[in-house]
Amino acid sequence: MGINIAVLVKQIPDPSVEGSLDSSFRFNRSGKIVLDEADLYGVEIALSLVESAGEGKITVISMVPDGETTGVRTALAMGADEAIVISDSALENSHALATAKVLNAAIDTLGDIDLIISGTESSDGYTGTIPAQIGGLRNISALTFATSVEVNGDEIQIRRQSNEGIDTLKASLPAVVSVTAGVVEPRYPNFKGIMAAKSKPVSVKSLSDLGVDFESLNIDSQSVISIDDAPNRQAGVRIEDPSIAADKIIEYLQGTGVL
Amino acid sequence: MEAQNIDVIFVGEISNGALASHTFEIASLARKLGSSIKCVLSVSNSNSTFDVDAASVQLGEYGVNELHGVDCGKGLCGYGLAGYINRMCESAQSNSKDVIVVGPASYLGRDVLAHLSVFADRNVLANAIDIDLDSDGIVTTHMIFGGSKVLKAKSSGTSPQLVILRPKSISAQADSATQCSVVRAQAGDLIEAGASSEIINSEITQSDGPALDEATIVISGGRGLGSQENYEKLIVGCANELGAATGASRAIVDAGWVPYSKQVGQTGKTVKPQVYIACGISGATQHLVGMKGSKNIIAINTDDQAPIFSVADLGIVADVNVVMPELIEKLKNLKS
Ligand SMILES: Cc1cc2nc3c(=O)[nH]c(=O)nc-3n(C[C@H](O)[C@H](O)[C@H](O)COP(=O)(O)OP(=O)(O)OC[C@H]3O[C@@H](n4cnc5c(N)ncnc54)[C@H](O)[C@@H]3O)c2cc1C
Ligand SMILES: Cc1cc2nc3c(=O)[nH]c(=O)nc-3n(C[C@H](O)[C@H](O)[C@H](O)COP(=O)(O)OP(=O)(O)OC[C@H]3O[C@@H](n4cnc5c(N)ncnc54)[C@H](O)[C@@H]3O)c2cc1C
Repeated sequence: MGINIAVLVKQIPDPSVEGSLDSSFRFNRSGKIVLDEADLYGVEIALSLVESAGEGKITVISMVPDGETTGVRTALAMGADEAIVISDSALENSHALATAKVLNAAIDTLGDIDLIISGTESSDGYTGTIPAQIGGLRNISALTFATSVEVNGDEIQIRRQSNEGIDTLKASLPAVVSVTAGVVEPRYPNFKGIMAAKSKPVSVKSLSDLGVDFESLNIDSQSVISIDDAPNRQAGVRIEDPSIAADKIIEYLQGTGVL
Repeated sequence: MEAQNIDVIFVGEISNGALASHTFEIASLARKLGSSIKCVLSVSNSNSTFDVDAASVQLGEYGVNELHGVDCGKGLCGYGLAGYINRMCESAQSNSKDVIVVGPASYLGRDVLAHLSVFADRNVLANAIDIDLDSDGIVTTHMIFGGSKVLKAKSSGTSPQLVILRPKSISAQADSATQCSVVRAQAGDLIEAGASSEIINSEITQSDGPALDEATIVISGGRGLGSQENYEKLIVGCANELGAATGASRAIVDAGWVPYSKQVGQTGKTVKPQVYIACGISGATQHLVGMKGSKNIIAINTDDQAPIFSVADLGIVADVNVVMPELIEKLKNLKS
């Protein structure tokens, strides 16, 4: 028994290094790959839901073109139980809907799942569409942009920022929930966790292992045609003397007509 | 694709009781793309008192032909609206029309387009800043790598074409007034039981001052402020004097000093005020992409090498703790 949770985690090129594209406009993944920081919050929320339920299982799922598992090991070291990595070089140029279909096929292998947790948007592609796409594919509710998550029996409640304030929503399980970055403090993997992660199961699957037909993913429907430098602004006046700074700002504001 | 044979269906949005500014921006872009422009608006939940007829007159001035006010029931409306738009797409296509569906890069717009992509089995072009027609599809423009590069992508093949557009990318321009007819519809029954949700409580946060993405002046704070108390004292304090909206870098949103709704940048809001004032913000590319379209930029930072200065019209190399209290004092004196 207990709660059965899948957490979707993306493994991305280290965002602190400026990104680049290769000659066929593919994003360069040859450098260091990390667990997307935006997904640490989903892992943390899953861990705390299992803690408050008393028991449960957390499977992290990640899709990559290159067999990468470093990032999912981070999630396992934090305390997740198992990982599925879908790796297929055919997925190199995958768009979000294709990614959602592949992740969904992996979720299917988990049997009765109560909750699927994701980030609201990844740090590299940031389409922010995967969570609702998975909800749509499974015909279950997609509660997006949650700032807190509570599970009671087979009901889920979330809080969510709205244009006017905060909404509280409920839905029945199973459901997908995407969690906003920064809402909880993700735990750091400790030494014990890191050691334990080494022996936790990570199963690497190809598209054919999952029975996904590549053609059905429609990956070639979009292509990059050009990349150019964005127009840059020029720097203006510099003031280094703090004693005149406030006056200069007021003068400037008056010059623009806003004051 | 040819504009005269294209229906543009777009997701409108209500913010604080009025049509959001991005609704007019998308309408303005839609005129360039198609011959029939339809706006779909969720009028459920807290928007039930919204005046749809008045909105249709406003949208008519921007060339919109139809306004669909759709009630999606008690929960999140992304799924229901997407189901409704999917029907509109199918009926347009059965009349041999091509369809482009555009939504804003807001919570609602992303949810609707994501659900629609599943219904239509079509991928979404996200975070676009412009859309053009092409012989057999559309070309979308995107800012990548924190806005340092401009990428153009082509999406060909069968319609509908699905695009999420970043607010503040297109300037809203009224057109010769068009008769905009109102269609009222229910989409609650399009939502399957297992996919339904219910809003059980809505708290309205009273925001004082102008909205961040509509304000003439935006003053934002970053980690250089040192503390949440300083944000209140220096940023909110100065904003009160200037009638400005307050914004923030992600560093201080993550630190919990201010809510996410204040975040400016790649994963936050895009702002284009007359004047943007950045206090104690370093100017990471992900922040710059959200504010460098501002008409005038003032930056205050102790580090004369901070990248924010490369986009600042007025760069103040100084401590915010020294400059801001003095500025607030002087603004007060100016008023009295
Ligand atoms: C600069 C750039 C622009 C892009 N633009 C587009 C575009 O316009 N349209 C498009 O369809 N694709 C686009 N892509 C490709 C897209 O990023 C990938 O297909 C990606 O695998 C899924 O989308 P996302 O990262 O945007 O997910 P999002 O929807 O932003 O991610 C939300 C959450 O979904 C989960 N998730 C996402 N990807 C994975 C994964 N691979 N494994 C496990 N969990 C995951 C994570 O929990 C994540 O926090 C772009 C990629 C880049 C680098
Ligand atoms: C995928 C991704 C998406 C992101 N999206 C966003 C986004 O949407 N928006 C965003 O803002 N960031 C975003 N970031 C984070 C971004 O990279 C930076 O980390 C962040 O903007 C830094 O915030 P900051 O400028 O407040 O802090 P810091 O970079 O720490 O800068 C603080 C500045 O304050 C100055 N300072 C210190 N003391 C004083 C003083 N007394 N007086 C004056 N100046 C002082 C310092 O010189 C320094 O320049 C994103 C990052 C990633 C990887």
